[in-house]
Parts: sequence; C-alpha cells; structure tokens
Amino acid sequence: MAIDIDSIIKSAEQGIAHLAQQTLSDYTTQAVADGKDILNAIKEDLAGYTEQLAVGEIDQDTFNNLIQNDVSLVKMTALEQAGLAEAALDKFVSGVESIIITAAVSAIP
Amino acid sequence: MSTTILRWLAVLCFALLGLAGCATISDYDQVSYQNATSLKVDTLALIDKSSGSYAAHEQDIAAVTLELDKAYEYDNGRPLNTITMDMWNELRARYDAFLADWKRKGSFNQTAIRDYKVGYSGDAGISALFDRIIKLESGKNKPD
Repeated sequence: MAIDIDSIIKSAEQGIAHLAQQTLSDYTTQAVADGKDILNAIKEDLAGYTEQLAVGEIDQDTFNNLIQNDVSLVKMTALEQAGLAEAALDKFVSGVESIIITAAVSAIP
Repeated sequence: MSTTILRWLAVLCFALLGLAGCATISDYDQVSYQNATSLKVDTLALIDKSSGSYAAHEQDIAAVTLELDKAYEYDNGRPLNTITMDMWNELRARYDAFLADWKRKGSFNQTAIRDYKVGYSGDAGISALFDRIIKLESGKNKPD
C-alpha cells in the first residue's frame, strides 16, 4: 500500500497558508493599530504635561515621573506585542500540527 | 497496515511531538488575569486617595503593595512567563515612583492624580500600564 506523500504535502500547504493568513496577519494588523493609538496618546501627554509644568499645576518631580510612565508604556506595549506574537506563533504551530495529522490520516487508503 | 506505513506514521508522530513541545510563552491563566484586573482597580483607587496625606494612608498603601507582591510572585512561578515578568518589573518601578512622589509631597492635587491614573490623554498613566499586562494575558492561548 503506497502513501501519496505529494498529495499530503499539497493538502497541508494549502491548509497552512490559510492558517497563516488567519492567525498571523490578523495579529499584525491589530499590533500596528495598537501601536499608533499609543503613540498618539503619548504625543498628547507630552504637550499636556509640559503645559501643566509651565503653569505650576505639577512640579518637576511629578513631570519627570509622568514622562517616565509614558516611556514605560512604550516599553510595555512593545513587550505586549512581542508576547502576543509568540502566542500567535504557538497557535500557528499547533494548527500546523493539526493540519498535518488531518492530511496524513485522510491520505491513508 | 504495511511496515512502510507504520514507519511513516512513527516518523510523523515524533515530528508532531517535537512541534507540540515548542511552546514559547505560557498559556492563559485565569488567576493571573484576575490578579491584574483586581490590582488595577485597587491601585487606581489608591491613587485617588493621594489627595489625602501619605501618612494617613499608610495602611492602604501597605495593603495594595502586599497584593502587588502576591501577584508578582504568582506570575514569577509560572513557566515561560518572562515577558509578563518584564512588564510587572516595569509597572512596579512606576508604582514605587508614584509612592515616593506622594510621600515627598504629602498629597497631590486633582491634576496630578488624574495624570498618574490615566495620563493627560486619558489613555496612558498607570491604568494603561496595567492594561498592557491584562491584554497580554487575555491574548495568550487558552489551554486545551
């Protein structure tokens, strides 16, 4: 009894391409949108804090802390995106596993 | 089933076991998620109290700090959780800086309180830092 390896590979390739489109590109689109939102918020913060410092609503120590909070926000957003990318990749690998099993089992006469 | 098929399936099984063992980040954890969401609420409530004196709220501060320590240690004990721990370290540094500023000044006006909580934009501050941890946890893969 011969196994048609080419058929298995072709079927798996199609499934994996579809899975990559779903799992990875959705994640990338969301990551770019989130990144833009954060940068807009920080731009607004910088202008606001500077104005508040100028009119004495906050002092230099608080100003420095608030700026540092925004720096941390940038770092943590990058960490979040890295983590979500890893989770998406893990999900992708798990999906590939499932596709290969399905393709192999369905090829057995 | 022929020997050839059995051999082929054996190779496939080893390959799949290899793939399955390649997780790079921890799965979603309900306790971790609840810790972060609960601490966000508690921390923002504590910042609201900074309109009053630091000395008058030392017990409140100690209570929130203890919960932060517990959440930190819980996540620290999870495997493949380095990114979340890097985030907790960053957030903890900002929380400590807020407390130091409060202690130095005695109390804050409403402008500083709002800025510490959500930033001038309303989308930043310590609230947004918690959101990063919460969003990562909720985006992790759910265990089977």
